Amino acid sequence: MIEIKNLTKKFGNNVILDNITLTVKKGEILGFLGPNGAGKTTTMKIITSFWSPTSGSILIDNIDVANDKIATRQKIGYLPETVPLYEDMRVYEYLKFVAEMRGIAKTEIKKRIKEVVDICGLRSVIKQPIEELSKGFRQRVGLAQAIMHNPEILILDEPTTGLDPNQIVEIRKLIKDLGREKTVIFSTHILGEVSAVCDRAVIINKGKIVGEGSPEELTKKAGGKEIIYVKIKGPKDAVLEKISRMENVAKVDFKDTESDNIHGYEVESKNETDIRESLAKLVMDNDWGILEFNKKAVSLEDVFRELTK
Amino acid sequence: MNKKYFETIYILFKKELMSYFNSPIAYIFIGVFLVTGNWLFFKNFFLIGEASMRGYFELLPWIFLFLCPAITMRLWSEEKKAGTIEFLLTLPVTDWQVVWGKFLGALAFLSIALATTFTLPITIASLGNLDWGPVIGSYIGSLLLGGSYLSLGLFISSLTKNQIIAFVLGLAACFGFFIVGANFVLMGAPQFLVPIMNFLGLGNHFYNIAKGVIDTKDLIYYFSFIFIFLWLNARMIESRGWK
Repeated sequence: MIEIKNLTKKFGNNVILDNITLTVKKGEILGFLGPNGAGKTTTMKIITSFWSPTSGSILIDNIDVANDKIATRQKIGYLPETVPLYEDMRVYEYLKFVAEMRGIAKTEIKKRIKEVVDICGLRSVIKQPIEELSKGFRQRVGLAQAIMHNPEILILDEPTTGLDPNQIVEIRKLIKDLGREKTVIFSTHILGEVSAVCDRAVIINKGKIVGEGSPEELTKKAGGKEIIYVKIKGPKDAVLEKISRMENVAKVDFKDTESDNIHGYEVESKNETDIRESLAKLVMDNDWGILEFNKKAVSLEDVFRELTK
Repeated sequence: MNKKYFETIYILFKKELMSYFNSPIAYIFIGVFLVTGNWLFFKNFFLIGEASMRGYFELLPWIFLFLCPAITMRLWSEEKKAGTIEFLLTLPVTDWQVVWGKFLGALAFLSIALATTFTLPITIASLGNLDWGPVIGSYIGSLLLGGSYLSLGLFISSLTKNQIIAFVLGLAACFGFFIVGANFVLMGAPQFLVPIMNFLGLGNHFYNIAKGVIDTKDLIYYFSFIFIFLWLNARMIESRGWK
């Protein structure tokens, strides 16, 4: 669907994007992760042909963006980071302008605006001047603008920044719903968002891709080890000693105390082996009791910090 | 260059023209334009006692000097500041189409403002024997002169994010092009530059047409002037994100 090949962007000697190659498949929701200034927005501006690259190419449905901007733009719906709204227009007026510019047939415009308004929940503000809208509604008008021509590709630049938690959940749900039929690329620096919404994430730092994969894969790649938290009823010293002598255990740490006889431990395994079963067996054999047992995931935060430091 | 190409320009044009009337800008502009123009004109009209609009059209270039940059100052700089430029230029349009849409919108607005002054010749014609030739010529000349100011102002607006800067620079540039062919400037200029400056001055061509003589030389001059700055404008927009 989208093929980015050896994309480089320089401002003078300042390299913003350094030889990025990336393919986005049809129907995929791709999260674009990275610290501020990593090059996320620049990549999006180039995909939408707002800017042209210094070198490299972008193919959208096998059409080169540099060759036929009009055709590729028509396949894309774009929501820039600063929501692009004409303050002095009313919501309906604005959406009508977008619909006309997108070449929607005159007889279809009303119907299409109504659909988009329903999808984005804009009915209550349709007649209001844009300058009077709250941040959440502005974001939705921006999104309505992006999906107006029912594009195959949606590019959303930090669609949830500046929203309150309820609005964030709503917008995420909207993106997820839209992502069922469309290819979506969206950027964020909120990591939870990636696991909540994306099929695949790309981590970019200082203009380079430093990590790529599903959120699970990424966590695994950075971690490579498994940590298990277990709460055992039994004498602390004996438990620590027995566990550390188990096969495939790299490390065991005492973590917390619930009462005299109940303590929590963190056990790290070697070579990604699953030691839960043997751990349970050990506890049974010694007549202790297991009160809590869970696999502690290496969080995406850890991955992010690992890859972008 | 098919039908769709011009349809897109028309949609942009419509939106631009509507945006003047969406805010109080349009009404304030037209109000101020009418009041200052008419007041300055009628101040002397009855003293001179002549049924002609010559006084008015001698004044008009100077009023346009302020009015035109005021119309164009926000056209690009506001889009840049609000970030809407990113939306506008990622729609399926060429930079040229957007430039044309903006220019034609501004020109249409200026025409509307100019049309509100039609009461003047009608009033004068009822008072005495008005020679319509120079009046019609002057209106055409005003539109061409205004179009040139707008084209120049629009280009300058594309250089900056700041409306005030766009206005002041636009005013200065328009003034420069207007004055460069004026007699008192030519007197001080080196001899070999005089014919060039004489040709370049926006004012001279205006006064030619205002006499009621429409010469192709003047028309070509105005059309090239407008086209050159629209072209530079499109170039400027195209070069975004190069620095």
